[in-house]
Amino acid sequence: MVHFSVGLSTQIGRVGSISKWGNAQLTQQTPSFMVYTRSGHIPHLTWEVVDTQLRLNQTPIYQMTLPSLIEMVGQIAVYKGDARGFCGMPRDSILHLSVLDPLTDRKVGYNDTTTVAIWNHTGKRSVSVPSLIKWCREMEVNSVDSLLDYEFTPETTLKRMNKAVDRTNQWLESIRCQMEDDMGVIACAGGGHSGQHRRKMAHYISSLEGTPIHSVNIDLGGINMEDENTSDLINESINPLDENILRICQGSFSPVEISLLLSKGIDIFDSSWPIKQAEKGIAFEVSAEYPIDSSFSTIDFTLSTLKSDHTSPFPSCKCYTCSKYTRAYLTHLCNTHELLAPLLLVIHNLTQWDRMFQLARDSIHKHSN
Amino acid sequence: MASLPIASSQDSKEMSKFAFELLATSRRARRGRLTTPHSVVETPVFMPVGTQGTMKGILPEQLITMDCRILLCNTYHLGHRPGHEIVGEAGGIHKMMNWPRSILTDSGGFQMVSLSKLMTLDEEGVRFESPHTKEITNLPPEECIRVQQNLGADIMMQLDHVVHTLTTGPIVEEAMERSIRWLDRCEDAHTKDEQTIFPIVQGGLNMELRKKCAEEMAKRAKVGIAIGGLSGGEDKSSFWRVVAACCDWLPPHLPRYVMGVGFAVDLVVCSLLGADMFDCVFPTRTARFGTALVRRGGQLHLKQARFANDFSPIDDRCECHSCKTYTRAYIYSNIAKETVACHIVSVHNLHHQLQLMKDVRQSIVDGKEEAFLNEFLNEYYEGGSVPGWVHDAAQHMGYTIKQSRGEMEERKHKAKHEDVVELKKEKKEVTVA
Ligand SMILES: [Zn+2]
Ligand SMILES: [Zn+2]
Repeated sequence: MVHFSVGLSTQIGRVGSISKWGNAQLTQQTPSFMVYTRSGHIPHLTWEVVDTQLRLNQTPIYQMTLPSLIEMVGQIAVYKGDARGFCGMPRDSILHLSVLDPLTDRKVGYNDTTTVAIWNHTGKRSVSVPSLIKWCREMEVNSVDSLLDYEFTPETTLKRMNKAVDRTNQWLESIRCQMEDDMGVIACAGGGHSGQHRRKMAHYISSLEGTPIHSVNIDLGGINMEDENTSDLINESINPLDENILRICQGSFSPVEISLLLSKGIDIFDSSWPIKQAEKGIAFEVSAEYPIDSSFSTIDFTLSTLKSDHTSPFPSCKCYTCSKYTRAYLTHLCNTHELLAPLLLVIHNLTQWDRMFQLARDSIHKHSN
Repeated sequence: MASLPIASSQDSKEMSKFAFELLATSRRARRGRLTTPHSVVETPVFMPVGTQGTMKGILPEQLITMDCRILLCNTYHLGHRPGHEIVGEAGGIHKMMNWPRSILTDSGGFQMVSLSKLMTLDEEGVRFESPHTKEITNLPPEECIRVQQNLGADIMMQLDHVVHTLTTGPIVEEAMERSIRWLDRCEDAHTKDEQTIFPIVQGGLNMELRKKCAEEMAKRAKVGIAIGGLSGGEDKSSFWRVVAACCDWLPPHLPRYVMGVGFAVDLVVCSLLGADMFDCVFPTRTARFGTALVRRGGQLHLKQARFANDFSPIDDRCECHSCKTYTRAYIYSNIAKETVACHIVSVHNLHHQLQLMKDVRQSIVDGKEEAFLNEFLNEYYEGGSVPGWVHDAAQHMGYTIKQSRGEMEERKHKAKHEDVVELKKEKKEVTVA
């Protein structure tokens, strides 16, 4: 279960606070983000580097991505310990298991009545409710997404979309029945581009009997954030839900997109976007007026424009990368494809992402007065 | 030895910034302390190689945690990218890469021979075609020092005339003589007191030439000296004999750097023969392929399926962060998939090399090298036979090896120096005027 209470709601967004996450105590102010991981790591950072060089404002919830872990669950089951121990994570890490990886494309046409298809380097893997429950127990995660049939494309038939809603709802029911009470089960509200199916899924969640749903993963797969009706589609998922339900939106969203989602009242995101940028050789910085001014600047270190610029990547940034290295050096590392390049960019981009959410929380407080 | 040249005032300024002190010796082995403007280096020392001005995804702070004191960076690579002028503008390589301790740069000559398709060489210097830009670059000794002064390492290497280790005939002597003349030109071009130049003893496998070269270079050496032209595919018997002979001829006040040596058994034998400094790309390069260096058996190939459910650390006696945090099974699952797996193995491999040298130093201080050598070989060859060349070298030094003599020449530790492999692969002709 997740304990969450909403503080202020404004036009810019809402602030709230989390006091419990699954069976773990956690104090976290929202809006915030889960720290994206792959194979039990923040990509490119060993836990030694995280421990010594990455400073985040709040105790993180780590987003464990199932596609990157599914080949290891067998080993974790044999290993005397949990996913934290196996992946070298700090012992008290709080873990959320995401069924889908926000940085991996979804391919439609592979979900069936009992399983959801996920993809990794070995190809397609299928996830059923019993296997998901088993893996959660073995990994000892604190929370998990319920399964979602994400088969929603403009070509999908109405019949197939209805089926997707029914399956997703059934899976949620069956996970809720079988999972331990102290596991944070995050209900999935999907529906893709179809407003009526989004509404159906959200209604089902709000109508559930028994232990009330405390948190919902609002799935935006298949939605183009730049479309005019995006805002309406998100409303279809949010409006049926009780205000005190924690709203999670996992996916690779830019600062501009995050600001739109904040204004819709989303509480928690993930950090896949800054990781993706770092892997492309790009560093970013948001405006001090975020999210009122959601513009952000970027430096593409794969271009050679800054090869003789011996200043800090972002002089006002206090992160390890910006205090110890220069634009010229980062350009050199990117040009020579050195492993240190994504490592330093991940540290900067995550620090900046963290700052962005701090700015958002501060701004909401300021504008409520 | 012939009379030493009288130091000029510039020399004495330079030499006041460097020092080499012998703290203990035992038979031929030396436990020393080299001081440079950036750090104190305990010898015998292994210098990790950060080719492009970075250590394969390891932060400088992590290297300091391992108590690494000195790194090697490659002039040839940094000269191309980002370019020595840019490094100079950045305030030097230390500042650019955030490394406060000592750095040694090579001359770039070796890579010119191995990586450049077209290379010519005459008395004036080396001319080569850049594999990146296809431009023809002239590199006379003066330019080599200008480039290294821009990089700003504590220790620069002279430009030498590199011939393949197995070359024979008059060219070996010509190259050796030319390297002496080039050292003088390097010193004439050298203007920065906070940097010093190491001469390089050449002469191939010809002991007469090696002796002559050692004497001439030692006369000119100020802080330290290198033994070059090895680790190029010569047989191990010639290798150790050249190292042993050069160490015998060189005066004790100069630290002796054997270039391109990094396999554990070579490090141990050369240290006992009286060598003080070593470098090799092997520990970090091999990490990428999941090969971990260990005392018991030498190497572990963590990509092998037998590690899938092996929940022990790489080495249960190792104190490195990787061994305290990760299992072989975890590394097995991630090698070649996630860069962190490579970082995890690199941290261990570097720690392994540094720890090995620490143990070598302690054994010299305690005068217990013979026991250390036996213990090391017993683990490294897992109780099996020890190669003949190690037996010969040990006998030369007056140590008794308890394990039997194997006829195999280095069964699984064949030279893997990537540059050397490339050198052989390309089989290109080096024209010499
Ligand atoms: Zn920064
Ligand atoms: Zn280790």
